[in-house]
Amino acid sequence: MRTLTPEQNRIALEKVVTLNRKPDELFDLLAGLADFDNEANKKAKYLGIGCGFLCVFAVILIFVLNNVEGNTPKILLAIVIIAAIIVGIIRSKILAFDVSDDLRRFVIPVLSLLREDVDPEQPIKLRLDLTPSTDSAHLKSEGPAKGVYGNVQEYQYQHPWVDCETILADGNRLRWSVVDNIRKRVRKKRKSTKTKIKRKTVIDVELRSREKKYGVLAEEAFNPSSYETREKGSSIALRNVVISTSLDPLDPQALMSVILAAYARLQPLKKGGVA
Amino acid sequence: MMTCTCKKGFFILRDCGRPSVKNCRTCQREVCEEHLSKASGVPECLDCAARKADDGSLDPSKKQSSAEFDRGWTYGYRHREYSRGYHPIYWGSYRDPYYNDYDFRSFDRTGRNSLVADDDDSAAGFGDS
Repeated sequence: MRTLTPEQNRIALEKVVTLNRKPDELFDLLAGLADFDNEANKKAKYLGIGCGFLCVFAVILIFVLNNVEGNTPKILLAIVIIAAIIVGIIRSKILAFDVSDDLRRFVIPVLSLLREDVDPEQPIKLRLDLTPSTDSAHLKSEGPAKGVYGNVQEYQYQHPWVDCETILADGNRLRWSVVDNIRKRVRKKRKSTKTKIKRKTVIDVELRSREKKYGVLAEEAFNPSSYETREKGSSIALRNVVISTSLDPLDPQALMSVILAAYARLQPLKKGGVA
Repeated sequence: MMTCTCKKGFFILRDCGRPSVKNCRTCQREVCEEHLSKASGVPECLDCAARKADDGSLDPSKKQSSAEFDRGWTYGYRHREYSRGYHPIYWGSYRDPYYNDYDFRSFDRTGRNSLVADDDDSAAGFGDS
């Protein structure tokens, strides 16, 4: 299994970080962490299965060896129990480094695309919160669900988990952020508990263009996009809201399509190439 | 020394300008080390490799490692978005007809799809700042 640098180690444990790095440095730092997390998740899964298997084996041994005399069965049983405990401890230690899969499936591909348009020496400012969106720290309210039959508890979470700002190669300033708003409803029955998730992800993009280089096409002059639009002078702000019923990682396309829509509104003004 | 004729960038296309190391076997253009496709197995530029790639290979959920989000993936993604209708802004010093399919927008009036009006009314489209 790969190892983490001290900085990656710190990010994995703290999970909330603000970075201001050159594009390639930022990508390498987070890519190493994302790959470690991916391997750790697989390892934790197998350790979980192993731990469960050892526990079941220990219970079977208790019944089977109950009537067998001598110390050997007791020693065997003790070994199995100790092994289960050790496997469980290793698994929990690995899970302490677990970070959100959004890092691997959203942040890394987005950084890979953005670095094409950022000067290699120009830093990207990135604030990340890699805790789960349904972590108690993000709980906004809880109580009985209104207008729903039965004993249903409702939890509302708000999790602003990524915020990024940089200057692109053409001098335009790009800022984007993602906020997860989650409604979790839990229905408890005698034999089972059912959970229902509704996630509303708000993606905000602000593109501030260089006035001497670009004009902003009026919205009606351009194909009207489905995104909520706000603009002031040379700045375009677009909002995309993605609704889903799972906590699966966000598709990078949900963000990239908004940035592309903002860029599509820009009109190159002057003759010539490099500023 | 010959320089790479590939264009870098995603929202804005720019000249690469790095020293070329090989010619692309498909388009014959001069290509630098960074714009050579590692996945092709033959000397081929990332643009030609991207045009041949399957859209399904771009799905981030199918990637096992961050190393797979390399320039090859980025150029595949770029080609897909350009094919879907995004017209990149061209921000460079020389034209390459290779990219004509993408209908880029340009600062240069000679551009194939330049959005600059002939009367150069540069105030058009501006609001209050």
